[in-house]
Amino acid sequence: MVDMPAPNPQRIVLPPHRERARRPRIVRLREWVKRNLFHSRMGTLLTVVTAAVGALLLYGIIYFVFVDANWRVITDNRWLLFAGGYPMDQEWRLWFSVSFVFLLIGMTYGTWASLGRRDHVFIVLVSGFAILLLAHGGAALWSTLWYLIAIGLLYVGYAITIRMPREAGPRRTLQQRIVTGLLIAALPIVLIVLLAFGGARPRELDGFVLNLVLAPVGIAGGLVLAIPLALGRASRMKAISWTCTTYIEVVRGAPLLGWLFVALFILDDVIGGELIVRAMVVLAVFTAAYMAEYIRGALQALPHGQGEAAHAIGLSQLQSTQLIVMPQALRISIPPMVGQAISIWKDTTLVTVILPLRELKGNADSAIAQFEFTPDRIEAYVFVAVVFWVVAFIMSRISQRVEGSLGIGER
Amino acid sequence: MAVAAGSAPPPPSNVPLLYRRGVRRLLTQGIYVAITAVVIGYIYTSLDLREFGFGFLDEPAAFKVGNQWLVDVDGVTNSRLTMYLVGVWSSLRAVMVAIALSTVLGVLIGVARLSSNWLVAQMAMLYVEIFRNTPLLVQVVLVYTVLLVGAPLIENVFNVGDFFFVSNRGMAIPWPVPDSGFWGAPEWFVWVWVAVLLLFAAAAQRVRANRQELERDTGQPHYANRWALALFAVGALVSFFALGAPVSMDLPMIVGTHYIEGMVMEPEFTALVAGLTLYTSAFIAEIVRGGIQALPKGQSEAANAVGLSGYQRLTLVILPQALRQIIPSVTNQYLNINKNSSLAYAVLYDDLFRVANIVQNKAGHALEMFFVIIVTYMLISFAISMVMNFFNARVTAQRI
Amino acid sequence: MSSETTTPAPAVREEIAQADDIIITENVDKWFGDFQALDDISLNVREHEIVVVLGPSGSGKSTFIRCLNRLEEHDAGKIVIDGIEMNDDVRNLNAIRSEVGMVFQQFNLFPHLSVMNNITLGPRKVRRMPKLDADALATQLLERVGIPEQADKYPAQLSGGQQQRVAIARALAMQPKIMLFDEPTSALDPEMIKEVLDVMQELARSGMTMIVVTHEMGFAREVADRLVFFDEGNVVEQGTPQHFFENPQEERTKLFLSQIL
Repeated sequence: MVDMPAPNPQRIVLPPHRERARRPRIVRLREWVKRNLFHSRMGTLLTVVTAAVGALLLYGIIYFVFVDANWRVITDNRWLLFAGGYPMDQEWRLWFSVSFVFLLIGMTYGTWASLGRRDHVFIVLVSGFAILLLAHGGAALWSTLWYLIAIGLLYVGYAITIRMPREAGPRRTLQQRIVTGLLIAALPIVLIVLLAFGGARPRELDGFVLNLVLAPVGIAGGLVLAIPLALGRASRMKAISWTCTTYIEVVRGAPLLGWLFVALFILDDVIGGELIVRAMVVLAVFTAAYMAEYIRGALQALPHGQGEAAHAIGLSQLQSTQLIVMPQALRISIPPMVGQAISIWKDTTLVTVILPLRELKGNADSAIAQFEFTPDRIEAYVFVAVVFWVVAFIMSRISQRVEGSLGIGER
Repeated sequence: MAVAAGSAPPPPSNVPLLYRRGVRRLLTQGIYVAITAVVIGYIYTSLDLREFGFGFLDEPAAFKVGNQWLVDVDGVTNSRLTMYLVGVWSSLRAVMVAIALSTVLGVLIGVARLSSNWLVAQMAMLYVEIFRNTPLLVQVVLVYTVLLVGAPLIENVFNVGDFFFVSNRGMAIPWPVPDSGFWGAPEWFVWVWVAVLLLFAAAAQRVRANRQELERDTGQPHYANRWALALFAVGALVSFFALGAPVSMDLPMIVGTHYIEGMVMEPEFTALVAGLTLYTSAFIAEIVRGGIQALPKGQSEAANAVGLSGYQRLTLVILPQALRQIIPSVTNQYLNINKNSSLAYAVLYDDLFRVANIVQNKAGHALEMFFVIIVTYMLISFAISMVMNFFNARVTAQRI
Repeated sequence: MSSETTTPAPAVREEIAQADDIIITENVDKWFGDFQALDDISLNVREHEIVVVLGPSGSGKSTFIRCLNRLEEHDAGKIVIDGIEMNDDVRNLNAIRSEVGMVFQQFNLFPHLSVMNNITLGPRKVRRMPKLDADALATQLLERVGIPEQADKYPAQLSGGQQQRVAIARALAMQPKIMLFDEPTSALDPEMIKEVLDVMQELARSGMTMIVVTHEMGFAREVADRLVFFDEGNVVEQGTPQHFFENPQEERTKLFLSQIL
C-alpha cells in the first residue's frame, strides 16, 4: 500500500471524485487497470488473449514496415503516385492549391472549432510521414519546402481566425461569411489554378491529384443537384415528385461501377467531352441521389410548425424554403452528408477499375508493373490505403469538430 | 347541414384564371414536364438505337467464365445469356456469404466497442476506424495480393493432414457429396436424408418452443436448447445410418498444379468476400453500437437488477430491443454489399458485372447490357429488402 | 347539427359597437378525411374585438383559426378577411397572410436565426423594409414585449415565456390588423404564463382585433369581449364573459365549464 499523505489541518474537504484525484498517480493507475482490464476472471482472460493477438499484430506490422517492406516502390515513384501525367514544370500549381486548401482548413478550424492537442499530434505525424516521403533519397527539396509552407499557412489561417471574438455580432457574422465564401469558392479557384492559364489539360489530372479533384467535384456537384431533387421528391405536385423519385431510385439501384460503365460507353454519345469530365458528371449525378435522400430525411424530421410559421408571417413558398426550411434541413443532414462525402472520397478509386483513368490506386498499379518493383505489390497497396485513410480521417475529424460548435441555435 | 366530404362543389369563382392556385400548379407541372420531356428526348435521340435489341444475348458466348460452382458451362455452345446467369449465380454466392460473415463479425465488433474491457474496446475501435475509412477497392485488391504473393506456390502447398490445403491457387477443404453408401443406393437418397433432416429440425424447433413455454410457466429449468439439439443430433445420426450413409466427404487432392475434388475457395472469391466482409462489418459494428447506445440506460440496469449475466443481458434484453433500430440500417448495408460486389471486376472474379463487361466487349450493345445489369441489381436488392422487411415486421410486431 | 344559439352578443365596448365586421365567415365546413372538423360555422368578428374561443380538444377551435390565415383550406363556405375573400386566388392569399398575425402553441421560432432576425425577417422579405428600419421596429417591439436585452440571442437560449413573447413580437412586426393566438400558453410552465398573458392584455388594450384559443379562464373573464364555445365542430354557445360564467344556457357548456374551472 502507498501511504496516504498526512492529513493537513487546513485542508478543505473536497467531493469524493476530487478527493480520489488527489491520491498518488500510481494508486489511481492501479485502480484504473483493475477496473478496466482485470475486473473479473473472464475479463482477465479476455485482456490476456486480446493483448496477445494485438502484440502479434503489432509485431507483424512493425516487422513488415521496418524490415520486410521495400518502400522504394513508393519513394522512387513519388511523382507518378502524386501527380502522374501532370506536367512536371507546372508543379507550383499543385502546391499552390494545396497551400490554399491548408490555409482554408486552418481558417475553418479557427472560426468554428479549435485545434486540440490530438490535432497537433496528428498534424505532426502526417507531416512527418509526408516529409519522409518527399525528402527520402533527396531530390524533392522544393516539394518539401512547399509542403512546409502549406503547413505554415494552415497555422497562419488558424492563428488569424482564432483570435477573432466568438460572440455573436456583426464581426462574427462577417468572419463566418468570409470563410464560408472562401470555402465555396475554393473548388473553382483550385480548378482554375490547376487548369487555366497554361496549366494542365483536364486529362492530365492524374494520380493522387485526380482523387483530390474528383471527390470535391462529385461532392459539390452532388449537393447542388441534391437540393432540388429532395424538394422535388417531397413536392405535392405528382409529376415532379414522381420523376424525382424515379431518378433517385434508379441511380441508387445500380453500383457506381455500373454508372462509370455508362460514362465510358453510353454518355459519349449524349454529352461527349473528355472522359474525365464525363466521370465527374457521373460522380455528381450518383452522389446527388444519395444526398437527396439524406436531405429528404431531414426535411421530414423538421417540425411542421417551421413551415407554418414562415407562411404565417407572409413568406412565399420559395422564401420559406430558402430562408427557413432548407438551412435547417441542411444542418440536420450534415452527419450523413459527411459520411457520403467520405464514401465518395473512397469511391474515386473506382474510376481506375473500368475507365482508362489513373488515380492513386491506378498509378500504384503502374508502379508495380515496373519490373524491379513487381515483388512490392503489398507495399504499394498498403501505402494507398494509408493515404486514403489519412484524408478520410481528416474529413471526419473536421466535420466532428465543426458540428460540435454549430450546436448553437439548434433546438 | 354540410355536404359530404369531397363532394363540395368549388365555390363559383370569378378569380382570373391565371391567378388561381390550381391553375398555377398545373402550369408549373406542365412546364416541368415539357422541360423533362425535352431532356429525355435529347438523350433518346443522341443514343445510337439503330441496333437496339436483346437478340445478341442468345448467340453463342465463345468465352470462358471462371469461378463456377455447382454449374459447369464451357462457354462454347452456351449462349451469352447463360454465361451472364452463371455470373449472376457467382455474384449471389459472394453476396450471401459476405452478408452472413459481415453480420456475425459486425455484431461482435459492435458489442466489443462497448465492452467494459478497455483493451477490447480500443481494439474494436481501431478495427472500425481502419476498415471504414479505407477504400473497399484497395481492401479487396490488398487481400487478393496477399493471397497471391503471401500464400505458398502450389508446389510447396501448405498441407494440414491431407484434407486442408492453402496455396496461391486458393484454399481447398473437404466437401460433402452424395454417395451410394452401404447398399449402393441411388444418389437421390441424399435428398431423402435432407428431407428427414428438415423434418427433425422442425420437430426440434417445436420441442424447443414447448419447453420454453414450460419454463416460462413453471419457472423450472427445462433446458429447451439442449433438448432440441439432442433430438436433432440423434435424428440426424440415426437416419444417416438407416439410409446407408448417403453422403461422404470428398477430400481435396492436388494433381499437377491443380486442386481436384473437395471444395476449392479460389483467391478471387476469397478476396472479394473478405474485402466485403471487413469493410461492411465495420459499418455494421457502428450501427450495432449506435442501436445499443440509443437504448435507455434503465434497460441495462434493470437487467442487472434481476440478476442476469452479461451474456444473458445482451442476448435477452439489449439486442432484441436494439434490433428495431438496427435492422433498417443493416438492410442498407446488405444492399451496399450487393452493389459493392461489382468490385469483383478488380480481382477478376467472374460476377455478373464482369461477365456483362465481357459480353459488351464482344458484342457491343452497351445500353442493353447496362439495362440488364441495373435490372439484375435491383431484383437482388428487392429480394434482400423483402427478406429484411419480413424480419423487421417480426421484430416490430410487438409494440413497445 | 348547426349552430342554433348564435344570437349576436351585445358588444360591450363603445368602439366595437360602432365598428364593422373585419372577419366574416359563412357556413364554413372543414373535413379531415372522414372526420368533420368544422360543421357549418358562421361567425363574424368586429374590428378591435377580443374573441376568446373555448372548447374541448378536437372541438375544431384550432382548425377554425387556422382556416382564417389559410394554414388549413376550408372545404365549403365563405371566409372574408377585411374585405378580401379567401379563395384560390394567389394574390389574395398573400394579402391576407400579411394582415393576419399568428402565435402558435409551440412558438415555432426559427431556431437558426437570432431573435432579431426572427422578428425582422418578415418585414424585410415580405414588406421590403430596409434593414435599419426593420431593426428599429424589432427593437421597439422587443421593448413592448419586455425583453429588449435578448435581441442577439438564439431561441434555444431563451425560456419558454421569452420565446413566446418573441413569437408575438415577430407576428406584430408585420403590423397585422388581426392577431390569432392558438393556445399560446399551453406549452408554458405555470410561472411563465403570466408574462405572456400580460403582453396579450396590453395588446388587447391597444385596440388590436384578437381571436384567442385558450384555457386561461382568468384571461377570458378579464379581457374578452365575447366568448365562443366550440364542440364537435359547432359553435354551441357564445356571449359575454358575464353571460358565460354566470348564466350559461347549454348543457355542454355547463359541463365543460364545470370541468375546467
